Amino acid sequence: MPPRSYYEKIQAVLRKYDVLVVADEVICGFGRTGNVWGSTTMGIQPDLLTCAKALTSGYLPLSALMISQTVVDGIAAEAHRIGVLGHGFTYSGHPVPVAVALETLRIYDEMDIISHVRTVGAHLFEQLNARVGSHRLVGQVRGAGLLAGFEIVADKASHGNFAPARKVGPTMVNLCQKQGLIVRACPNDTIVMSPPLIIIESEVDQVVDKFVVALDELETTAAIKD
Amino acid sequence: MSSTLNSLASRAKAAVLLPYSDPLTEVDPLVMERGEGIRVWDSEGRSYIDAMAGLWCASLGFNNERLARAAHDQMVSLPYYHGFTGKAHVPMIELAEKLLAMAPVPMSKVFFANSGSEANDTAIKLIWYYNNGRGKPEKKKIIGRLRGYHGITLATTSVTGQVVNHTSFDVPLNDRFLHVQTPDFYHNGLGGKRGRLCLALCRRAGRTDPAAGTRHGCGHVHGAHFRWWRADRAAAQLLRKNPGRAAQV
Repeated sequence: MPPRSYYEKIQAVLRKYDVLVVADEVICGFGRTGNVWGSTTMGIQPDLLTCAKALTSGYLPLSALMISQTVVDGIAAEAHRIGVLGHGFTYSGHPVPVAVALETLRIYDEMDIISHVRTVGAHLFEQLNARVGSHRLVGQVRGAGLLAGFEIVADKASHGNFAPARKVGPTMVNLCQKQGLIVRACPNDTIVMSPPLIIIESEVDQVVDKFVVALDELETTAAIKD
Repeated sequence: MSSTLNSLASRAKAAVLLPYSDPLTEVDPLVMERGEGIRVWDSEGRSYIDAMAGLWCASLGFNNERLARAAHDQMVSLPYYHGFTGKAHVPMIELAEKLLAMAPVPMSKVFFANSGSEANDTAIKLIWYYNNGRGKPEKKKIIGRLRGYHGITLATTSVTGQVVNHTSFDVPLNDRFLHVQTPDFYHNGLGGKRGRLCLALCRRAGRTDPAAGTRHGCGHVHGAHFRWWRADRAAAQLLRKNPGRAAQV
């Protein structure tokens, strides 16, 4: 996670050098981090913004790119000069995924998804910090809202990871899967989760229970011991 | 577990080139059959809490009836149309308006695509188009993050900063794509003399890092700033030497 004022400062540098900011909200958009957009959580003022995934709850493929007035004006002038905007996909704005997106966004509004994510997300991090972060094999616990990850480390003090060849992250994922829990391993043996936003606190507790069992088992595996 | 000849798992391995898997692995894929709430069930009847919502996707869980109905109703009224050559349709207009109303900062227009990769790819193409249009054809560089992920089209793979997405795929495409460090001090805080100097400067400026305690607060801004400055300088030198290559810088 970046320091709180990171994006504010880096944006000042980018503006100075006339560099546009593109916010990739494909994962973070629509409440994932406890605000509608990750940009709000991180203090980013993008010139372009991309989103997908939770736009349709993943039920049908759809993504969207939003573009600021200045950039749109430039694109429009260039397309007008050429005679046409020579870009577009056969299924750009296909009516069926778009209809599903409209219904998805209606449901988010009706259930006040942002408040839900903030409440359940706070519980998730409380549980992760207390029960997972305290484990001998776990380094940093990080994330926001209902997007979370924790790193498996060889040394909590130096933050050193195990050698990638030991495949500690994938081993942990398999142990979780045996517990009936699907998670994913990212670089630096980071175990990540991004559950359905409708998850409730008792279900979060079940997820964390499974992490704890899997971590204890991980300690006994060849990936860690040998 | 080993797959029998006609099992769904063995058929999956035989017929599908599965993304992000080792095609020669002995391990069987999990064949999913149904979902409910935050859970999915495999073809053997075992249930899982899917704490990844698939691929960061199923935000409303795996059996939302209203979404199924919305798809069905649209299928019946207008199952396909497009926005090419002066056409549009009602759901497209409504969703664009809704997204613009939700945007974190004022936005002007929405372009639709099918995946995050395509949306990011379009962002790159339109930025080049925009810069060409405003008389800055030399302005091509896209800066991504090491370990970042922004998709797997030719252009977006080049922005993505992960080794497995680059190796043997002939990317990054060219020197249009740069990667800077992640702004995370857990691994990337500067150590040694440079780190101490930066920490001292940051402290003097009142910038402390709330996330990492003793580590300094804006070294990465300095670091990234330096990289861009260096890249800009390199580009300017190249331009002076060979103005004909401007479009490729």
